[in-house]
Amino acid sequence: MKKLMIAALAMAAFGATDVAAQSVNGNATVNIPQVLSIANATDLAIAEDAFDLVSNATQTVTASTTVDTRGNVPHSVEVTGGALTLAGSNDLALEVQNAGGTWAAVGATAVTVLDATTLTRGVHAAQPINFRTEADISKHGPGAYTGTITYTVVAN
Amino acid sequence: MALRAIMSAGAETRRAAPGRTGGRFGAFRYLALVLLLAVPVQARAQFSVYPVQVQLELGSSVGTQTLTVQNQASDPLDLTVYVNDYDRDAAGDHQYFPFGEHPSSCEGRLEVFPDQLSIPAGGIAEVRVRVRPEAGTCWAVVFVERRTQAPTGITVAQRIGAKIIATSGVLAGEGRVVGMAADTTAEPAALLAFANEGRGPLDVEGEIEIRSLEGEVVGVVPVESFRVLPGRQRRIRVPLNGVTLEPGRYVLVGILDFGADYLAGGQAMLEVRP
Repeated sequence: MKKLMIAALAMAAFGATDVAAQSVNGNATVNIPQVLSIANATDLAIAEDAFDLVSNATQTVTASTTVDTRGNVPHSVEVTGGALTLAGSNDLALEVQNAGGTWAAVGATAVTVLDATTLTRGVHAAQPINFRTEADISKHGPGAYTGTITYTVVAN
Repeated sequence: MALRAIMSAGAETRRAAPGRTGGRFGAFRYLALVLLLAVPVQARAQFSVYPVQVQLELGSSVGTQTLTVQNQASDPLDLTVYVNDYDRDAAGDHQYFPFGEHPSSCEGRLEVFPDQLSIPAGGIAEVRVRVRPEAGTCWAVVFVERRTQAPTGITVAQRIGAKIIATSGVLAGEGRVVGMAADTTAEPAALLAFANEGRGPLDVEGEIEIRSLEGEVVGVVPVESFRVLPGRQRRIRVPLNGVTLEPGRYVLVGILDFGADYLAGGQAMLEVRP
């Protein structure tokens, strides 16, 4: 408190002088860092009744997730499956739709699902990401399937 | 966040369509494939990282940088920090490799600490990056990742990549436009190919001028900034949004600034049909 009072007195004394006649030129540098944020990646949920292997022994089912990003630089979202694919009693391959609209396998290779032309500087809420899988009654038995989906946000 | 994919049989409560009983698939009469999570739960975690692109121009001393990680959620957050090598193809897509497996890896030069973060709600943490000076340019990506481990099913991870690139001193930018064309397959766009012919990364931005055949500028479209790694090419597509073009022929002039004391340019013909 004592220091504050001294500082206040000093400022008051300085203010009493003729500062209007003084000018000082200086450079101001404001360095804004490049920042990226990610949130709210939703689960992949395909409804049970989307699969009807009785009527269609082989069928493609699709589902979507969303992810929120924000950043002050153009950025992209990529999907990888790490070293895993969906694997249960038999493999059930998962694909994701890339930014160009074509389907690509979810695997170790990153698939750009939202590119910098979509994710420009700013806030991008609930950006849709489409997945699909093909079920085959002759290959895919009942069982639990496990895997990993990674959403990566990276500057352009 | 856990995502579970389950294949189940014999769900008696499933809707039974007429004519689906017995027959060729009798044994699978009630077979259904369920790929799903019991309860779709959003990963409410939100976090940010900055800066996400770091360029260290090293002389004889070690280069350091701090990455700030902010937990913007209302719950504590546990994050993993690790390093990968990466590369980019001409389309701009990334390829990631285990650290040390790429020819331009910073393995042996780059240290990142710590490798785990526990951040309270609304809090921040710092990741320290340290690069030893050596001849040549190297790069890597530091991932900050949140992963929800599920006992079964699919694990969903969210990660942010912070790119680190280290050069030997300040390098002069060298680059040029190696191709330009007009794309009229859908909405008119300019296609540009730029080559980084130097030893350092280049941040490129600029504009596309749309000129009449008489040389009059009828529109200008900005080219958003993009980065090109040393020795790499990058192809970009620039939609000519916001410019109304009457049918006719135009010249597209691409002008790119990549930080050198000269600009790179290219041109292409555009024909807009009625």
